[in-house]
Amino acid sequence: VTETEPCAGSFAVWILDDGLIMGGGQRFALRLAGVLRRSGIQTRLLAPADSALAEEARRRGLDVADVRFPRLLPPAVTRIPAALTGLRRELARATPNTVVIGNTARCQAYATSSLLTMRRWPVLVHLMHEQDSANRRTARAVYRRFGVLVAVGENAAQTYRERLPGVEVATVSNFLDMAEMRRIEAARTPAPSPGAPVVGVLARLIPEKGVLELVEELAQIPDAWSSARIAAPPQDVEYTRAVRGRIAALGLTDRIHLLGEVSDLDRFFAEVDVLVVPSVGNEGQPTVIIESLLYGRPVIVRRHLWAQRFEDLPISSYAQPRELASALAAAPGPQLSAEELELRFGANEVLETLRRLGFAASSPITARPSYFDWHQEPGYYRDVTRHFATTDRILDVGCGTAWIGDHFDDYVGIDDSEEAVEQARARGRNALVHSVNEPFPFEDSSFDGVVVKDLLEHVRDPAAVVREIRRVLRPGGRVFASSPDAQRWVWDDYTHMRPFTRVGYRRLFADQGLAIETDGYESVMPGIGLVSGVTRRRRRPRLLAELARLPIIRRNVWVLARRPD
Amino acid sequence: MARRMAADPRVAVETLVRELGVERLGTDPSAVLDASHTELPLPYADGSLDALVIAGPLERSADPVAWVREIRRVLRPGSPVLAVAPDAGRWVWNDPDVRRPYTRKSLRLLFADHQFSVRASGYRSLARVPRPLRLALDRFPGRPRVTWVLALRP
Repeated sequence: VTETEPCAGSFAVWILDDGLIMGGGQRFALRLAGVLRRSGIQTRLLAPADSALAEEARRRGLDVADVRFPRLLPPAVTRIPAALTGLRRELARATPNTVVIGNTARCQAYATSSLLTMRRWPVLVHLMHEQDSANRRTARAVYRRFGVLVAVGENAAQTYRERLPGVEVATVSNFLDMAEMRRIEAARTPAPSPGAPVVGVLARLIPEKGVLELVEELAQIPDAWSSARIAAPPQDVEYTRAVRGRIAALGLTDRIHLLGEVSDLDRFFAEVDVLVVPSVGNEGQPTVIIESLLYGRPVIVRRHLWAQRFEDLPISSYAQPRELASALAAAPGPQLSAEELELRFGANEVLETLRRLGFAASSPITARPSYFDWHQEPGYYRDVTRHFATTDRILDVGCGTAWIGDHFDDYVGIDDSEEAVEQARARGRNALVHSVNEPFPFEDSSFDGVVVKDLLEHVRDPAAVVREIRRVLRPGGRVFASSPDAQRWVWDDYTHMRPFTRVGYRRLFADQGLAIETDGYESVMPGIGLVSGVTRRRRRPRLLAELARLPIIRRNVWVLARRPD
Repeated sequence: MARRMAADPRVAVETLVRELGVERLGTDPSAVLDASHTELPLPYADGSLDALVIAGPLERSADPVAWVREIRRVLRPGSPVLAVAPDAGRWVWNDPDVRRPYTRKSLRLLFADHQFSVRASGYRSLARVPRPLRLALDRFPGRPRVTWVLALRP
């Protein structure tokens, strides 16, 4: 069975999108594909062939592959296996330095599940246009383990950095390509009204866009504006009805115009004085901001934009209606040329970021030992922590990034990997560098509990480590240990020295004078951490736990032993 | 020793060297590390070898990473190494000198994690049977077979 690696240097970018809507994210993808293709980079769009996105991509002459991403809920569930197989077949054709971009949360879920079963991975980039995924547990679990997180806009990046400590989050800014910038600049018209400004809004009618809130705010400051033109396709029917009803109730039907979907931006901007982006803040960086500046219209946003490239531009932000009023009353800022704006909003930055990711992946230095991921907190952490009280003084031998420390008040971890301990400390966990082959730097009987998880298979003399554990345990204190069962996968990791069996594991602890309380098998099937992460108990689901009795299931042996009084 | 090893990996090494078509492999017999090599460091100067075959030490050593570092030291940049090691099956333990087997994944990672650029890897059955049958046995984990990797020093 021979497998030859394709040559390095064949950098390519594939974009995955479910094509459900035609929003900012999709237009970002189309622009990105266009820019990449012009730079001579092989680019493909993987999206349902009948979506508006795919249609537009074909019209622009892009390479489109028909891939489906059915909803993850019934009744579409039955179509998921076929969709996964189709996607997997496509992804199998990607070279190792292909950058695969998941453009929506659903595509990211599909891409991750297909890649899990593949032998060779392209680079998976989760491109975050929104911030909602930061609040989803499963999404966070995926981002911690698979792929690279790239956020559009500094606001989104900030959110993901806060929710995912220790995970590197790259930032790219929304961009327009130069040809489009020049075209818009040429279509620029003078502002229409000399008196109170005409307010323009470009969005979709969904709650996140904050249109309803804006209507209320405008009603409170009736003298600050003359009329409002809201160009927004009615995506959410309920919401659209609510907005329309509210406008009528406030008696503003003749001043606030709902224009529906607007495709002629030249005309839209010719008729407004200022663009308001009332978004309530869970999305990336709206392209309309850049477009508005190019049309020579100042921008007022509800949320402050955390990015240097937005400084010194005619962009203001507001929280209260009276701040909106004073922003509307302010003189329009300087008009900026396409050249000036290109420096801040050109495509170079996003191209550079993708190139960097592509090359980083093709260089072997980034390859890590396969066990590295296991040192993050698994979804079934209660299967480990439930053996101890939170007030116990706990020693974690071979602690890795010391995630166990988050569950105990008095905790210390030791690990001989300086890198792991550094990461643990960066997260405020108590860990120190110490080789487990040496005597532990702790006094006799000084711990209530010891965890030695996924360690004994890595050490030359497991009996010596267990002897040390017994020494530092107080009489009556417990130790929890787990290691791989004697199965073939053990040897997938070249740092493993030996596997164990239940009998061997029991003897190992009993021989050093510890009383075995419980022992068993625990499933370590690929993906079980993610599955357990969505359970309420944060333990392995009972059925999957039982399946570990079958020797064909990838499993660990574990033991809970007590130091006799 | 020869009797103990009912399945002899040397056969696989010879055919692999022939089939991989990397001319430099196996031309210098002194640069073939077999089970008789147990000591580090290797008796070569830094960057002095054009090619190297290692079949034997990796499964007998408690510290395979040290061997890979040593191989990186003695190879000239860009030169190939062919590493061969037993696959993880019960038969491995018939040889009391063997400390650990490998799988294709671990052998690849062993080199890839230490800056080698892995060009090809696979399994090779040790059965002395006609080629079509052997190709089938290559894919079957139950019978004696080795895993191999061809990697270039950075």
